[in-house]
Amino acid sequence: MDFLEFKKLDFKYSEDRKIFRNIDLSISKRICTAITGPNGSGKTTLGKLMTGILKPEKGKVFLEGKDLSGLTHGMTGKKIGYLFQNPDLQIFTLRVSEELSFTHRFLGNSSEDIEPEVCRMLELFHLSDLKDQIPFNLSRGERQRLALASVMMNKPEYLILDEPTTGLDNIRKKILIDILKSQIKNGTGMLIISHDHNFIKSLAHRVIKIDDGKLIEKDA
Amino acid sequence: MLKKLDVRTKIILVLCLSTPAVLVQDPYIMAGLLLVSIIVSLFAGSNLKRILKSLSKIWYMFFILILAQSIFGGSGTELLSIGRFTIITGGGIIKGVEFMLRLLIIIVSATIMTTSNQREIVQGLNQWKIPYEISFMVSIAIRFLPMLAAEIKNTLTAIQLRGIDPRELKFSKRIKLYRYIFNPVLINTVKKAQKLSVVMEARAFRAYSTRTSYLVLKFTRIDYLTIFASLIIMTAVLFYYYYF
Repeated sequence: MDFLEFKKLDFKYSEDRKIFRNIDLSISKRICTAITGPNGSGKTTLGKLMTGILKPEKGKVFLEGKDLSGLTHGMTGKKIGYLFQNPDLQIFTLRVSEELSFTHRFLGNSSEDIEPEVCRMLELFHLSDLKDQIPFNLSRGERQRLALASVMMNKPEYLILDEPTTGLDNIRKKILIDILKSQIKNGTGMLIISHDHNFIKSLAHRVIKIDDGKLIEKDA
Repeated sequence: MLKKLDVRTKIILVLCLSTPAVLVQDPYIMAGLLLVSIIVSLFAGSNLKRILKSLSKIWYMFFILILAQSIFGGSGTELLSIGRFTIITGGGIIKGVEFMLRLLIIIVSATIMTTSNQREIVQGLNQWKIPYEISFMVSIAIRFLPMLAAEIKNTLTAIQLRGIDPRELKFSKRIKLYRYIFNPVLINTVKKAQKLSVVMEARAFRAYSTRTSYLVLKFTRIDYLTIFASLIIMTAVLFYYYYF
């Protein structure tokens, strides 16, 4: 049984904007999979279908063998960490350090347990100097790093990253590759949605190209 | 046929349906008005089914209203009480139903406006000599309100995807969680407004005192007929309610 499975899935936004028709897909948790394709081909849609943000027209999505339509976003979120294409959608608090500890505080973890991990993430993502800043005032690249750090704070089993390199300079991109490589090494599965071929080449074991609603396997 | 009506006719039609809904306090007349609103809305080609489906999520509000009217209004026969405390009265039910009908008439009649596009609405207001700045503000509101609703929904989804299930939280924590939705929504709205104002300046908004328009709306015979019929029906309903 694969971690994520699409079975005979159809999806359309409207009658004249059909994205997928009768697709089957299996995603393993043990490797890093990349989704690529031209603008508007359905890369983000595929990621959103995997997390239940979008519902398929026909067919089913299974997460560890369970029908995703029967799971709440909260249940899915405990398994999958999802980085949105637009980081502004997933920043909720008024302080960078508070953003990192957001989920843990709601789940009832004590400050003593959370603080060391918050510091580690701030260091890892080069955000230590910004820990008391208002996240909404940060640059696009800084917000992107904060959103990813916040997702990783939850230690999800699987990461879906939608265009994670947007707004990152080359140095930060290299650091991100190293962080993600160590995550893969530690057993976290990953799906990367990206246009950045060098980034994909550095991480992905499997590459799927979306072309005209079809999924085409490419050499990694 | 009603689909092709001028947007100004549609505005008058909506006003003629919703004005009696506010003034009249008779559930039978209001039920009749609701029926007319539904028929007109369907003929105008609005997606009534989708709107009623989204309204189905707030049906429980009507029951709360009936309870509130019964407890605080306290008119009519007592139907349910606990000790000396009245829970539901006949008058409360009637008032709750009236409120529900009033709200439905306004919502259903307003769906008629959804059959015109934003540009037509702005042009209709302009041709009524409403200053362009005001009609432009109306068009911005029409454009941004659905986006705001979508952003609230997306933010809640994003919070849940962090592994937080609101149903598993205590009530006080759940309220605290919902409070966090408004940080990104409010800040992003202000940012959007700032960007929009800069873009408007860059595109020389209000650089000239007069504006010309490619789209010019024209009343047809069917528009005059619809306006006349709407005004007659509205007057007749109000006359019947106040004098009979």
